[in-house]
Amino acid sequence: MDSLAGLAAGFQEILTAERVFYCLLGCLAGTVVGVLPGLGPLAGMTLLLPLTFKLDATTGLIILAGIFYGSMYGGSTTSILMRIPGESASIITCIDGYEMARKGRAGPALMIAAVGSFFAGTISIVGLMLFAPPLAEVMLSVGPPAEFILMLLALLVLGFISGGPPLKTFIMITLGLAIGTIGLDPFTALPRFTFGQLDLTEGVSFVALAIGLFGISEILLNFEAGKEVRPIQPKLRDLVPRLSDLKEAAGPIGRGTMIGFALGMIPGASHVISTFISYALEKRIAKRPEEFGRGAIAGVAGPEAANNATTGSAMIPLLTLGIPAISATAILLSAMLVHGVQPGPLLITEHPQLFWGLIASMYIGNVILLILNLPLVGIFVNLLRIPYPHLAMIILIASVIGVYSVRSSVFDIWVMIAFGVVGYAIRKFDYDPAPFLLALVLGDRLEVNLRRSLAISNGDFSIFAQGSAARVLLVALCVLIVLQGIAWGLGWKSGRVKVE
Amino acid sequence: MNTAQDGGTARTARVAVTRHCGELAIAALTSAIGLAMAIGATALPYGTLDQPGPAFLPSALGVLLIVLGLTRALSCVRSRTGPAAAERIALLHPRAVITLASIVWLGLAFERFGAEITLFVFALISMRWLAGRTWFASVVVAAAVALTTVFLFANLLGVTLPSSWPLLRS
Repeated sequence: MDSLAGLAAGFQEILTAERVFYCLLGCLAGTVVGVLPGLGPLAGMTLLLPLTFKLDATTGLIILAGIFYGSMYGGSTTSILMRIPGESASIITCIDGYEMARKGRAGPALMIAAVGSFFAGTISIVGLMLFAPPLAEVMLSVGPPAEFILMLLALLVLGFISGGPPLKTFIMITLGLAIGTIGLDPFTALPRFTFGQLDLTEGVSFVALAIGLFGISEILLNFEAGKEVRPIQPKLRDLVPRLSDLKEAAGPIGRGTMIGFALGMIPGASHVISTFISYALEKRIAKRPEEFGRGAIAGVAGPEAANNATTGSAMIPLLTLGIPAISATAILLSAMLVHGVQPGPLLITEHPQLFWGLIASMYIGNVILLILNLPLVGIFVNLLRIPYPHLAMIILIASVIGVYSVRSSVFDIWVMIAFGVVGYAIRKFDYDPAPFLLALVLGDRLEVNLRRSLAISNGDFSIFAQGSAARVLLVALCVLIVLQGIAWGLGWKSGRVKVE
Repeated sequence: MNTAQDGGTARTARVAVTRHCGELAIAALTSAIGLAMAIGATALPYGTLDQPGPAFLPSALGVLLIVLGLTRALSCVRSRTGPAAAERIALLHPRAVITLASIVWLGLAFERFGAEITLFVFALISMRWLAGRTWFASVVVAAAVALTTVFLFANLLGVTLPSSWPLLRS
């Protein structure tokens, strides 16, 4: 099936009243999640994940994907109107977006952010559609040794470029892998670290762990922050940008799209990093760089396009390799597994309706977001007037019932609470829990492929250097380690980009 | 985002530790988890190199965690002086403690007392002590939240929830 025929089949699958409604629901939920500070796409998707279990796989994924890219749209609203980033990828938009709003240009800033997001989101879906099928075909010929090195490479890249200090990130990755070993051994079915607890034989509940680590800890931290917000309210008629604004924004949107798409495929905090790189690039090539920080439209257009372009490209490693590049896509992976769908190279051939349906829903979702977001901006901003304790109460109830509903197990509620406390404590000390979650997701395949490779080769480690795919990946792994070693030797702490 | 640097948190938090102590504690805990894992793995078959057993990866991860924990502890000890190490991190803000206690209540009571009673008490705590509403408003909202939630999840979404009605009837 070629891409266009696949897409046509995808639209056929999606264009039913029910599916479009769920797509709309996901987009709206995502925008709300993006608008509300302290409730990013990851926490939002995690909290709503159990509610999608009652639906079929395609519909559940449409909703979750809608939350993912919808939150990227929504995050810019609070950045521009209140200087509060709704989610981490919108931090950089605060700088010039809010300055534009203060100068009475909130409307054009919102409009440019929305148009840039739409353009970048759409282009990245086209890229996903074009790149995913051939990459999946290549992956089909890859054996366990190459797959093991690929997993290792993903974890190392994550360790080197993730937002936190590398040592802390590696501790989180190793802990994630360690927690992933709890449950029945994949080869012998012997229980490991279950302490006779039946609820642990299937491993620690991913949903309970993710909701605890991100949702509960986020609420505990937000209760401590407790800040009052005063949004700037734009009028609908002010939304139309000037022709000069559009001309000025076109270049940054194009460049931001390319940066976001390229970085979106790399594991780690790519959606955040891409916005910083886009901003830095625009500032460097600007004719009047002194305007940056004082309301430059390029400072809004570039980063907003970059963060939305990552949403499509971040799906490529997930759908073709089964590797979540960022933690939000780990939630999508978990949803697929719950529905009995294994993401990876076989996904396109075994579940074409899901793959192409998801892509078609992303096209529809982007249009929905563009049409709905601007007229509804006033309503979304008013959501911020809801007192946080009320909001937290609703979120906590949904979390507890969601976790309980998966296996009707109170044990999972305790797991959620325990990881909530762990998440709260480690985040206080700047440990990023996202690598923990990604390692937990990848751990099982890492172990299976390692043990399978050693069994195939009778314990000969040279199997990891046999075959062209394994060799290429091994060279990439070595280059990465050497480069990072040189970087540390030269005194560069990490590849992190800092906010000025 | 939420280290205890903002004034409100630092003023109202009951417990605060220095960054140095906290970092050391996390490093020690990391090594302890690694040690427990390595020891726990000894009860499982290691297998051979051509047929690795269930203990193969856990024991390797256990050792790695011990090393990473010790490395982190060492870097903490090296940088124990200076303003960053002395920075005080506020923990257990009263509102965070109340929230945590209310979630623990959910865990304790959910199956024992049923969804309606558990959610009513949870919402009452949230409204009275976190949102600061009057007793009357808190009771009314809590009752509405409990009944609406059960109706929404159990009746509309088909989630199986433990019911409070048998307990209330008896």
